Amino acid sequence: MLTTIHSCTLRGIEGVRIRVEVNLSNGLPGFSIVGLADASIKEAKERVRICIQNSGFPFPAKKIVVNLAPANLKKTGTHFDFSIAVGILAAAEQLGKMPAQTDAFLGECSLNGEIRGIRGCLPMVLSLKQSGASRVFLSPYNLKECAMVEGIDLIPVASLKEFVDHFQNDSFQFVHPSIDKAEQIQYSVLGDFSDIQGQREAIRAMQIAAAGHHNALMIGGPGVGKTMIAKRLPTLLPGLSEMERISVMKIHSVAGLPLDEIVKGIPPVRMPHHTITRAALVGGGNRVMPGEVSLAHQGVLFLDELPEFDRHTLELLREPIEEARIRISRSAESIEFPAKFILIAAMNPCPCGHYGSRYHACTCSERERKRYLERISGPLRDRMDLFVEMEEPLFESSGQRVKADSSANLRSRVCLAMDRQRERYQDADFSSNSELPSQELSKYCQLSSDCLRLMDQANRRLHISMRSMVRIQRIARTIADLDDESQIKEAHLLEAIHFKQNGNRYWGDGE
Amino acid sequence: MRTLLAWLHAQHCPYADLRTILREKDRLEGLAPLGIMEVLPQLAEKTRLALLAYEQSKQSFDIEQVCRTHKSRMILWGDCEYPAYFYEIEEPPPVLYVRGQGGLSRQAMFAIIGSRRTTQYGLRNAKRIARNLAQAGIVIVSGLAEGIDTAAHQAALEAGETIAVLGCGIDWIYPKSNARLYEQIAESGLLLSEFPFGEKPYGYHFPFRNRLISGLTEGVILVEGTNKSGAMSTIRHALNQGKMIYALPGDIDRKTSEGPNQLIFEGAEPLLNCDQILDCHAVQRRDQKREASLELTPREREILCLLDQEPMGIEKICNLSNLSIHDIVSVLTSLELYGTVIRQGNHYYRTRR
Repeated sequence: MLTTIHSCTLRGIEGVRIRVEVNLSNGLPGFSIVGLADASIKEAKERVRICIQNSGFPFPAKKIVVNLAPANLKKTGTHFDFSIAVGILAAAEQLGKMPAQTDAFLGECSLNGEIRGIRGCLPMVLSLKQSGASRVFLSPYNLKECAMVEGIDLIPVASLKEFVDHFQNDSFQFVHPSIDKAEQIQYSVLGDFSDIQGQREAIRAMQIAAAGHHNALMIGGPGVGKTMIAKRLPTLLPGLSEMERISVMKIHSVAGLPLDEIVKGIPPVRMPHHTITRAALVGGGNRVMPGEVSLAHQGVLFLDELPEFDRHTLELLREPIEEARIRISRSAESIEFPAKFILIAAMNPCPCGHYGSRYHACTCSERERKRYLERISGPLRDRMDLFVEMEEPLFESSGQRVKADSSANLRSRVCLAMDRQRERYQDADFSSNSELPSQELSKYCQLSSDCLRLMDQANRRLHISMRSMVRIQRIARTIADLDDESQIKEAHLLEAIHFKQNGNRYWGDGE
Repeated sequence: MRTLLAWLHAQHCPYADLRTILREKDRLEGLAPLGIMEVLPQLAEKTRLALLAYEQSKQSFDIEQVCRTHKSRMILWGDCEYPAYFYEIEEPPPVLYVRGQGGLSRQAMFAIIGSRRTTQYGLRNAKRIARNLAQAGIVIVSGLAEGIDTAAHQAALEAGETIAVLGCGIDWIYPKSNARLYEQIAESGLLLSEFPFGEKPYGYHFPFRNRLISGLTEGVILVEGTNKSGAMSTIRHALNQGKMIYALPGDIDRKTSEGPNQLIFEGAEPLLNCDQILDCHAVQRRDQKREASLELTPREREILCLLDQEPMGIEKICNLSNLSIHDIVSVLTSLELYGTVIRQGNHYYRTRR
């Protein structure tokens, strides 16, 4: 007796529909799974057998062969358990009726008969919907993350027994979770920029970074507030749109991370530790998984203590920064993950952290300091737009304590600038100033004669390279957008020069 | 004779012997090593052995050729180019190697010295002093080390002439990080070494070579350094040689200003203004270009007024003025482009002319 059940597997962050063929025949009782299944699937034999028995059904004493088709695609994961169990019960004619071709099953079996949640449920449901499935049976644990997918019935099943009891008469009872789409984003969990004392230059840089998707590097001693500022950057970003939310959730779902905040539309912030491996940063591994750059998609990637990162690991950031995606190539396959993020990095001015400090003496030699700075390669520095040197906050008399603008105030400007960019680039294949190709600068960033003269002066006086000039024009475009100006003014250009030049000065470039 | 001396020098024969040979060179002309030993019986054992070895290997030793490969030239004790002041110092070097366009002219020279470990304050002032003196036609001498030396050389190169006195053979670039500066000085300044070609930068060379740094000059300016720093050894030589000593006063609780402050306490002249040196040594000043007076906007004037009080960072300017952060940033950049303010570390300074 042969049955075919539909399920799905993951390839990168996309699902691929899989047919689970179960055949029961007479002969020596046995159970085998074929179709390039890895160890986690082979182990399904034991889980499924005991799950069926502990749910109160007899396990057929037949020769059982399960084939996962297409059989030439490598498969991994425990989510086939449910479909295998259903296939065996259907082939043994214990279900009362056959599952339809448009039914699909995703879930892991536990020994006590429960259906457990799985990793990567959302992308699999999305691709099942595309390939024509109309009903997906899944674990209640996965229901919430998939709730925003429309046009497909999601039926939560807590246990195998519950499924068998209700399947014949289609008497499943459940409440579909409501999706609170229009809900105002609760930024407060992330803190607010008004918590920060002083450091207005750095906050301004964050505002520019958020508005034009520019990368920024903060340089400052311990305790000046670099991490505090970086953590609050998402409060300057408008919430994720429906499309962005789904693309981010797909990645996080594959990585098996909690999705609660992204469901609410809060952009992700990733803060990997500097001991991170290459595969963990850009993706990869035996089972190719998205790395931190992809987990930060549509959000912020914060690298604290930038020089402490392995230099070769950092160099891998070049591709995602340029292309907003990362391609993991293997001899057998090549997988692409989206990776459009704002890179915020922070570092100390020297190994001891006190160079230039008013309160502490620096104990590093000039050479140690240089070597520390050199760990950040020129090409990577080139890809950073905004540099800020941060001083220790001033402890003025308490009455003078100055508070920074609130996140809400800063964000309203950012949203304005983003709207301007969206409007300007509606016909182009990019959406933010940082992606503006250099050959299109003249089209979108016309400079007045005053500005050209200023650029020329800056070039001579500060020895700014042509490449930096291009970056400066993009930043100036964002600053003008923040100012709601359609034309770049001299003041915008000067501010852009300042933030880019900070970095050149620090590394002694162009001197 | 020059080749023989270069050979003996390369074999590390005592300086005294080399000077003796140089003093008697007219009598020794044309003599074989055995003859030289006969005329000068007081030569040390090492020199005698080197003389004998020279006889065997003189075919393969061509100092002129080596000099050409390294674009250098040799100056001997007694040559007309030999710096006059060196006759007065202890252990005058019998052989000098120089490389570069600059000459060891009779122009006034000053040494700017300091430690490798520096602060922004030291670097800034080393540059300022070097620039001002070099503009006035004074040659700046230093030791091509990291830190203060580098700053002084760089600023002097931009405005005038500089001489670097090395602690290794002239064909060695040390420290490696100064390779570019080494090339620049070779291009438009002068590199000078008393060590033979190929001599490595051994630690004990540096205090020894320091006597040449002070020896070349009219006076020595100590910018920064702790009491134990190498710069203090240059000062000791300068005192022995009777040179003027200037010290840049610094914060008394700053470790790097310990040396200069101690010197001031002991009677060195505190260097408050480069005019002190220029007036005292009656150096002819070159006309300094006056920048055209600039039209300043009210915002620029406001920020300049603040910076006139004291150097400050952006945060403080922000606190003291009513301008927004983005206005301040663009005004400061604009002033920087005019050259009216400069930035060092986190702070902006009003430039003084």
